[in-house]
Amino acid sequence: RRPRLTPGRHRGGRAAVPQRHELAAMRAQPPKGASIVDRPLSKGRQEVSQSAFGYIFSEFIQYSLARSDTANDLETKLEEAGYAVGVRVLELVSFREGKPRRETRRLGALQNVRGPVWKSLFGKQADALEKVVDNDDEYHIIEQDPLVNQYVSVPPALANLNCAAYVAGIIRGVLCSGGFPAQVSAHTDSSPEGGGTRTIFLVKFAPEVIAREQARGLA
Amino acid sequence: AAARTHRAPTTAPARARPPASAQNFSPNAAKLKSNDQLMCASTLNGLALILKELSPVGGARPMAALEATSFTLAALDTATGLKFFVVAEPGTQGLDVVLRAAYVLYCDYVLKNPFYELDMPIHCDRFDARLGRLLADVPR
Repeated sequence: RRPRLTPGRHRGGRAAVPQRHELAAMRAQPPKGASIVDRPLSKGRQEVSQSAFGYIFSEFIQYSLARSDTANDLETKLEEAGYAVGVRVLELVSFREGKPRRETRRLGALQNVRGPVWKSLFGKQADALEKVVDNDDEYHIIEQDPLVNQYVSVPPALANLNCAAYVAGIIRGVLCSGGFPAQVSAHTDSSPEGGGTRTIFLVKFAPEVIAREQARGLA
Repeated sequence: AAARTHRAPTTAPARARPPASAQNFSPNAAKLKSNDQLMCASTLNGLALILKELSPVGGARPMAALEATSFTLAALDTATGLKFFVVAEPGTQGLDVVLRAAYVLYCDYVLKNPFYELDMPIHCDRFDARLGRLLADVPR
């Protein structure tokens, strides 16, 4: 005897046309090819665990130390890593700040570094921004106790090493990608008022930046 | 309070690693050379292990304190097999809190220091500075 078919069902059991609930599910998923860059840029979580950063930073220093010959070598590696971060940080901070104009003067760029950039990275403004009296193209950004050095105790054998070279790289990345080519280096301030942890970031702008501003009459 | 701190990292139960750091924080503490400090820490470590086995009650926890007429010794055992010892004047209170704070300082300023190798003597100046400040606050 032929089996009786219940009404509404095709032979074989499953419907070939997608049902209504299946259509809704397909619409809820992102279209094929959507990736993380298609999602809107979020405000981001404001805080990151300092311990987590401490461990990663420590491991990065050990990794670079094993592949470096001298302290200068290690600082260069840290600085290169910081540069990559700085380029991206400038984009992100500019987007989140929402300012309609970008900085065109070197002092403005430095104020940007000292204020919004530093705040987004470390939760506070940099402690001081100074101009070096003798040279037109040199500035000091001073930080009393850089956050990245919080857990780092440099052994006496590497006394002239400052791991804030990473932050120097970030500053350089922000300035260079903002149109102000510069060299940035981190120096430990050995004066007693610094308490041994004060770091001075020496920013030296390229000659074309100075010439450009003088030509525009902004010296 | 006079407090002298030893650290003797060890794995449970048998093999003892050499102590990583021992410092004097008071002028009254006995001046031990580093060799003597090593011996002292190893002895204390062995003592703690023996006491654990010796307990007439089952499931005893490791040695926490040792009180003598001339000094008080407090010990902290961590889950990772690390041992902290502090020797202080008799009658000093709150040493277990001090030890726990010292453990936190160790985790922060020693373990996150990129220039520290595990099981080597501790020469981290941030750790020393913080520890000095911690022990300066110990109530007399």
